Amino acid sequence: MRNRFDEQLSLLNHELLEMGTLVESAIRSATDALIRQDGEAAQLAITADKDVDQAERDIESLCLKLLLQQQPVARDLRLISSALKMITDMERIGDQASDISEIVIYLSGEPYIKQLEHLPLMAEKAIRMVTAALDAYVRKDVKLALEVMEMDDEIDSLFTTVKDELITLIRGDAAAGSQAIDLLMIAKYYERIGDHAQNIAEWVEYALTGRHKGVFLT
Amino acid sequence: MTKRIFRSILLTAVLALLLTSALLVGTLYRVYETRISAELRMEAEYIVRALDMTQDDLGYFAELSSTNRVTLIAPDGSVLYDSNADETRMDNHAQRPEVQSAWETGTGESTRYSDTLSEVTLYHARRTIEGNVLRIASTRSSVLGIFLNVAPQILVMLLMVASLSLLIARFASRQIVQPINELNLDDPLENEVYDELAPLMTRMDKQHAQIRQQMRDLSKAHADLNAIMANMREGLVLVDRENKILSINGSAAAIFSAETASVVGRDVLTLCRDAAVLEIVKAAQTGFSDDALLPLNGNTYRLFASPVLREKKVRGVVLLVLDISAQYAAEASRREFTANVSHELKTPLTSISGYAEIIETGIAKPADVPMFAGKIRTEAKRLVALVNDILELSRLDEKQGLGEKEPIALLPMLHMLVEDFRPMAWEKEIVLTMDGEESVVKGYPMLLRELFTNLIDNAIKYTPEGGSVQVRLSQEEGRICCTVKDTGIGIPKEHQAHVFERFYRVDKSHSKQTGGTGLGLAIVKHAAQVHQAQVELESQPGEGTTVSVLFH
Repeated sequence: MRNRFDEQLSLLNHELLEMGTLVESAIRSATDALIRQDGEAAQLAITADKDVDQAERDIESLCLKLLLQQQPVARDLRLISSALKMITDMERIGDQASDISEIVIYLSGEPYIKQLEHLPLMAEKAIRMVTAALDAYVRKDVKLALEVMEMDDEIDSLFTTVKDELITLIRGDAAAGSQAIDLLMIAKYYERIGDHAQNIAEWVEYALTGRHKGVFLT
Repeated sequence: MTKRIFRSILLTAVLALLLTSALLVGTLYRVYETRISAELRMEAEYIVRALDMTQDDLGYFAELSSTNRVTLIAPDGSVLYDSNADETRMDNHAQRPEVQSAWETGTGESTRYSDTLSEVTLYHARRTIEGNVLRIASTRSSVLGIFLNVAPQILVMLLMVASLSLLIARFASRQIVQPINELNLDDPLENEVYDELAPLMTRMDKQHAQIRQQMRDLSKAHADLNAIMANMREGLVLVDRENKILSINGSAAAIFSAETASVVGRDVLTLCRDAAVLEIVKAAQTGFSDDALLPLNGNTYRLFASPVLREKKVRGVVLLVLDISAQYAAEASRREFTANVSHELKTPLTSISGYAEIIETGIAKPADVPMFAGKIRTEAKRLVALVNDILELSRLDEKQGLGEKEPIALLPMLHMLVEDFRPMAWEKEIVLTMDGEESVVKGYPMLLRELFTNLIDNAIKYTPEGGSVQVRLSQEEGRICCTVKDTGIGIPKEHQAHVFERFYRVDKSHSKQTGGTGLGLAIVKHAAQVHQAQVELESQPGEGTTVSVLFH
């Protein structure tokens, strides 16, 4: 006979993975849409966000049910509480992907003011961070989680580069200003996605070791 | 076992004990009773005789010492003397049966039980000469009384019997069971124990054989299945109701770059976190088969998820992973080819229909009609060339109608071809030369002719007037090499990798003038492949192009 608690924990694990998959595919679609100016892909990311929101609510109620009914302790408690924190970040990533997509749809009628160069790099980095953070959770890999936290600096410096580029562009041609600001917003969203991925990685580290941002929470 | 044997032994022993004591007590009692009543009769006789001789009855009684109770009763029933009680207080004894019988017959006897039944009193009465009745009574325990007297002893005996039975039962059962415990169950027929066990042993032997056979069958089936799963090129993953991996074969593990041992028991999404996988697994968990395309590590896979149904309930999911990269690429190129063919065929047809319409509606002046007709002819010729090339290519694709390979002397063939092109070269004032040594290759003559025709045709077409085209046949490191070198416009570096693709054009606008179909080099590449020959291209824009075909 298997324990009902174990069963519920494995369900939680599966639902977290499911939500991760949805989030990953949402930012991929949004990025695809951005690079190819593809309104359809953008729409896909916006619809995916609804699924992500639903997944967050489901996991939240599952976590609360587990906490109240099973009163877990030690490792299990850490796992469930970090799941509660992780889904918030994942949900935010879904929102950012949806926000990027909305701007992409808005921009899809006009050609870009410049060849996108650093923005796809940022997008790629952001996707890699999210994937790695989820991989760290899947493989229970603390080292990978720590790597994700370090990757955030790269994305931050890329954001500064993009910002400087756009400022130069606006200086040269005031008419490009409106689109430049939209692109800046997109860059900011990617930068935020990176931050959320870092948060997820931090909670993965906590779930595995009990240490969060260098402090032991017990 | 011990319990049961103990119970039987105990029951037998207790029954024997009780029956024996009952019988013993009954027999002894009767003997005892007879003796008592005889004694009573004798004593009564003596006392009566003594009373008859003495006058003072009461005085005699005073001197009489008897263990029994002696009573003298007057004819009216009143008690004259009693050895054990105060005679004045005793009631009338006239109605007592032994007394009445003594008055009538001279003697009388009776037996009466006490209130508790544990004692019995025997009476004997005798009439004296005076008419009085002398009664002697003896009171002693009844059968029940005796029984109650010995009850503690019997109880002790019972306890002793019980414990003895227990010991015997233990011993007996051990004696019976020991040979059974020592049975060699692996080989039941080899045992020599009880005859009663023979049917059991035979049955056991049969079942042994049956089990061995079934195990063999099972392990064979298992080994077969394992061999199939391990050696199949397709990936196979079994997933349970909770999306956990039950088993995964080597191919699947390799495709998802996972380790078989570490992923078993984990969630299927740990293998591959992809929305398409999630969707089809979900569908299969609700009982529907589904499939999806999965691009992974530069390859393309097709995933099939089917529910495992038992008693109309989903018990899990089977995930089959097929590598369709090659197929997918071929399909993509075929799609592209079809699109290109349609486009290429449509262009001349649109021109033809346009010119024909101009003539039909009378817009064209009669003087211009021949010019339009000429254009229609040119376009139609282009169309025919295109269709021929497409047919040639598709024949090469199918490798049909090629016939048998035969030895071909290349030198005469090339000489003939060069002669055919000489008018064309002369028209453009191009110097066309041909040299080389005799070489023989095995191949299809028609295809090789097609190959070299295309090469020489291209060389002349893309060489400006006054240039030169050199065809040379040579042997290089044992390989036959045919080179066509021109001083033409050349091919820019970025296009060199693509010129062998179907319908690829370096310069779209130029193609109209030269009248090419865009399939020439594709045919060259294909024909060379059929002959296992290598095609090498060297080109400098503005200086010229050298194409070499190297035969093995």
